[in-house]
Amino acid sequence: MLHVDRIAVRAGRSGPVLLHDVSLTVAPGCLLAVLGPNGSGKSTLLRAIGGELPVVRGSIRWKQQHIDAWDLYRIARERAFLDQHSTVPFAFTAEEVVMMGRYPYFMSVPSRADHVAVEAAMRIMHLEGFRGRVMPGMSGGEQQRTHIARVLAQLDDRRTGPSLLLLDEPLNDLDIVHQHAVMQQARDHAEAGNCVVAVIHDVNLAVQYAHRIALMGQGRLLACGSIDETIDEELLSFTYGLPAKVSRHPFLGIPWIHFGPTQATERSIFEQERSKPSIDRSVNVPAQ
Amino acid sequence: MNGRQRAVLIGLGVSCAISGICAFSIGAVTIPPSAWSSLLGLGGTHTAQQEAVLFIVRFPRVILALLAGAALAVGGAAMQALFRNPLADPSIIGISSGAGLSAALAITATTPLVTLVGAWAGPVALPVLAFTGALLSASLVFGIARDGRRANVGAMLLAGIGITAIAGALTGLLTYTASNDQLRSITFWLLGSLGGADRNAVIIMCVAVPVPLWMILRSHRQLNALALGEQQARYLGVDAERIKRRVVLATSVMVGATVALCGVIGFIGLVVPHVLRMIGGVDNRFLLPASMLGGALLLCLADTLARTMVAPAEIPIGVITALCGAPVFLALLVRRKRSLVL
Repeated sequence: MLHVDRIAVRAGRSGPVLLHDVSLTVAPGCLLAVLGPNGSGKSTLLRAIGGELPVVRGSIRWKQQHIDAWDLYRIARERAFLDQHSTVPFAFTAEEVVMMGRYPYFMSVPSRADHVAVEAAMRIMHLEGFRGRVMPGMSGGEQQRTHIARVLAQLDDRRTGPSLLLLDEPLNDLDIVHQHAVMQQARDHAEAGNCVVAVIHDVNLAVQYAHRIALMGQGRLLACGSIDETIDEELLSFTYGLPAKVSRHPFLGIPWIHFGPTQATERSIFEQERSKPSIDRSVNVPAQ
Repeated sequence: MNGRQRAVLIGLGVSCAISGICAFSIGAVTIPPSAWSSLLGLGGTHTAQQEAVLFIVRFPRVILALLAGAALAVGGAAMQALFRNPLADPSIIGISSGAGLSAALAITATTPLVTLVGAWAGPVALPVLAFTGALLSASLVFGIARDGRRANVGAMLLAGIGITAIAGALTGLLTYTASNDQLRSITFWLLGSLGGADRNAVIIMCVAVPVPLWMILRSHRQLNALALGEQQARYLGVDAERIKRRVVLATSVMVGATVALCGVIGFIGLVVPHVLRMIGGVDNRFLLPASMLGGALLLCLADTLARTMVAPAEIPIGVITALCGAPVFLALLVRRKRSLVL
């Protein structure tokens, strides 16, 4: 459904090449997790799919139509993008921000369906109590959940067929519970027949929830495939430049990845020893 | 829109109507209710003087005040949304300074061009020149900030500062070299006044204000979406370039006309939207119409004060708007500063 065909992307007109020859396909029902170190081109890929960056070679097609040929207003009902960091300069309430996701659906006054979609999205993100709260007064995680609710509300439309949800580091600022809730929601959204592409940093969360994984490094696609095809010690070590070990998740039986030096070095043992007393002290502070 | 916002809008609308009627009635010649009923054909008596004052003096003046206030406040709210900056006001894109410079030129200079325009346009020469100056400097700011097809909002802000500085310096130079009479007119113009209200002014405002006002008011969704950033707005189906062009053009035309006819009336574009945000929230679906009514109300009241307090003389209206508006603004600020988020 989403076809990225051998694209190259430059920074500006004559800047450095940010993406080289990247090809991938996302079918309806698939949650694709894009992994890779900082500066590997994950966000660039997502922004290219979003039509923000001009593609100098190759093509990106959504439902067989070139992404730039889509009418901005029409594709807004099928494609949503969650930014890494969204800051709102005015004191909009959470409900008003989520309602922005419905702007592609109404001209001046939101319909009943728009209110229903907003309410549903806020419920999914556990924001029922935040309707009238203003964004600048909410914590980072709560704001992030509001923006996720906004993109969910934006794609809450059964008439247009499969939708494309692009999430750039959706887990920023979220606690563990909401990290899992958001990943589960992304998976559910995909399994409802939509395409989801998510850039995330937590490899284990990606393995647990994604259907497919893309590994990126230095602007190139290093691997793209199922969990079994991509979760490989050698491939992961190469991608991140850090030794990786794959074991099994104790309950789920899925791969469980550990990064870092395989043997504790002398220095790190020494630091652990030395830091112990201070940790103990902080733990023993009497509770008030 | 929630109940509170609806109530604020209705309250503002009613106050606007009441203050409009009061503004018609109060002044050097009072028009009592009995004269009103007579004028409306409901019996009673009125003098010919009252009728003349109402239709020739008061009517244009109140209409001008209402339209100018609406244009300034909505222009301010629109600029704040466009620049994602609560401290923006219409003068930020160089409208006021451009108009001020060309007004100063029109008052002092005796160049052939100005004389020509004067001969052609007669009594509206000054507004026509000021309006042209406003549009010129706004388009200069917009042009400088344009990078290919994209207009960079940050660059627009800085270009506005640059153009304002140049125009301000040139206006200062003209002021310095002006004769005493010219200096007086320039100062009076720069402080703002609705004293020039006549039939021509009303016609110009009725042509230049309603359409841009309507264009901005119906862009409330797009202006809200811009708060998320231009790229995020694009994902919501908003063509940021188109909305920027539309809002800058609409603001330039209506505020340009206002400045051309009334001089530089500061404060309204900045303070009215702020006060309304503190009262009713930041959603532009509420804020834009509320600013329209609030700006009209404030300027109508301020003008009534300006022409009655030291009648038959007048106080510059810019002085009144600042002296009336600022305390309200500061009082709200003191009450809300703990929970204030711009």
